[in-house]
Amino acid sequence: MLQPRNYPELIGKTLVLEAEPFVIMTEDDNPWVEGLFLTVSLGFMIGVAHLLGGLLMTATLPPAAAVQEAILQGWRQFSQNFGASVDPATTATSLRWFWSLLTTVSGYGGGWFRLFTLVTTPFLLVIQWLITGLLIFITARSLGGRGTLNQTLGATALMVAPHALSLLTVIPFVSVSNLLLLVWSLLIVYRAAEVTHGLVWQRAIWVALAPITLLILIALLFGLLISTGLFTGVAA
Amino acid sequence: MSENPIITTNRQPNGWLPPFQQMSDVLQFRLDAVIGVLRDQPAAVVVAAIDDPEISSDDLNNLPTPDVAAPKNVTLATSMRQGMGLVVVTALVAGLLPFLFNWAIAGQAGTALPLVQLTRTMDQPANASATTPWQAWEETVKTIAGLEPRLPGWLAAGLSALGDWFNQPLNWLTYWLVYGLGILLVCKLLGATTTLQRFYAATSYAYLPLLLTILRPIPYLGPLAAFVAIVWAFVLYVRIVQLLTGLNTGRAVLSVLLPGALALLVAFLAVGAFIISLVRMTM
Repeated sequence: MLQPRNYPELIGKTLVLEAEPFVIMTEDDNPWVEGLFLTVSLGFMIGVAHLLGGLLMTATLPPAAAVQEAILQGWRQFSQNFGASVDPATTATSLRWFWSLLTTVSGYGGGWFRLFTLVTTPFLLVIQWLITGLLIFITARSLGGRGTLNQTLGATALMVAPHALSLLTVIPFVSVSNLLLLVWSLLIVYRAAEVTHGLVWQRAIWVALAPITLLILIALLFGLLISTGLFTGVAA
Repeated sequence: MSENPIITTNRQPNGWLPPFQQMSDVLQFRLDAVIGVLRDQPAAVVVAAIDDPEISSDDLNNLPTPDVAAPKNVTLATSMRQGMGLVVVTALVAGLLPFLFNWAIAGQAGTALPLVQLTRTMDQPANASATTPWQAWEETVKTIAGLEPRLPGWLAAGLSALGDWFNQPLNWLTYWLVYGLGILLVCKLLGATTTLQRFYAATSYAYLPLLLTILRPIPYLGPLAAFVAIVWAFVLYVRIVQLLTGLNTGRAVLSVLLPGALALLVAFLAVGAFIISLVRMTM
């Protein structure tokens, strides 16, 4: 079994798309357990980084209550000058509610809510890995791939490697682009399909694109349903 | 489970950064020293290239396609790992002076950098003539920026400036990887036969001229240096793409510009569609 001390090197080599980490994961005698352990460990560490970074960010900003007061004051002045037709008291209540929600969810306002990140980060990474691994396996096999589901899950677990950049969020105001994470993970999944299933690169591209295509189709379907609902509502 | 340690042998020259001489050569457009002929490369690089499953033997020997004048057996004396290291280190060095400058500015204000930047943006001449309602929000932002942070002001300023500094390599990695992929796809459509790792390794050198952006806090000189850096980087990128893929200059320029143009078009269409939808819903 891989030792956690080898993870930084494994992640480093995965990020530069070297074949070795994929071969190691594929040839392990229990690839999916290896993948699960890697994903959960990294997810937990990212969760800790988010937590500490959030605490530090809160400390670098003025207290949430003082900021809320300043915003409300600004709103009052704005509605006076602009002659806004909405009732200022109603708007102030809405602003207070929205601010309270925002600060609770983000952790800016304090409270225990931010501890959820310790659980949600690894959980979401595991879900993402399992769905991607399954879809990659199905698509790769249908295109003539030779790898097993266990091997595919092991190799595709490396798609969490770019998320290691999120460890930098321990520094306040650092943010990692979701586009970067998505594209880098896509490239890693492409290499995983190529190495694990022995596919030529043209087929490996189609395999790697399968999960994202499905995601886009689902998003389009939801968008269509929502817009249909909206138009029906407006028409009614 | 069996022991399965990672092989630690590193056949790549010089780990996570290319040799200084190669960087210097690229900046002077002596690209052949970096993107050369495979048989001229050191043995270690040749072995690494042949070992790489992505670089097949037919990839190494049959690069040219009938419609493009590709050079024979093109490979790199640089690995993707070195390319990534180069982009990160260049971004960090280029951000060093701005980091110190930002820390000093935010430290003087005694608050976090984003609040200072927001206040300064609102103080721009374009906004100074804004009508009265917006002045209320300007006042609000200034009030928030004037509130005491929980940490001492200099520390809050330092931590936020540090965060801003570390965002720079992350942003550059996004351009290198995401925009680079777009360029590679266009190159492939135009008949190029290079591989992912070689493309990323080579194009990382195009970020070197951006080191000049270290001067950006300096008035007059900063914007000029940034302009020179961007033009230099663009020309270098095109030249690298040309050499790597064998495309002619026109096609190389097209491949570098097309992904950006497409992204802009999609953004305009999306914003336009959103505005039209809003207008239609309110009518």
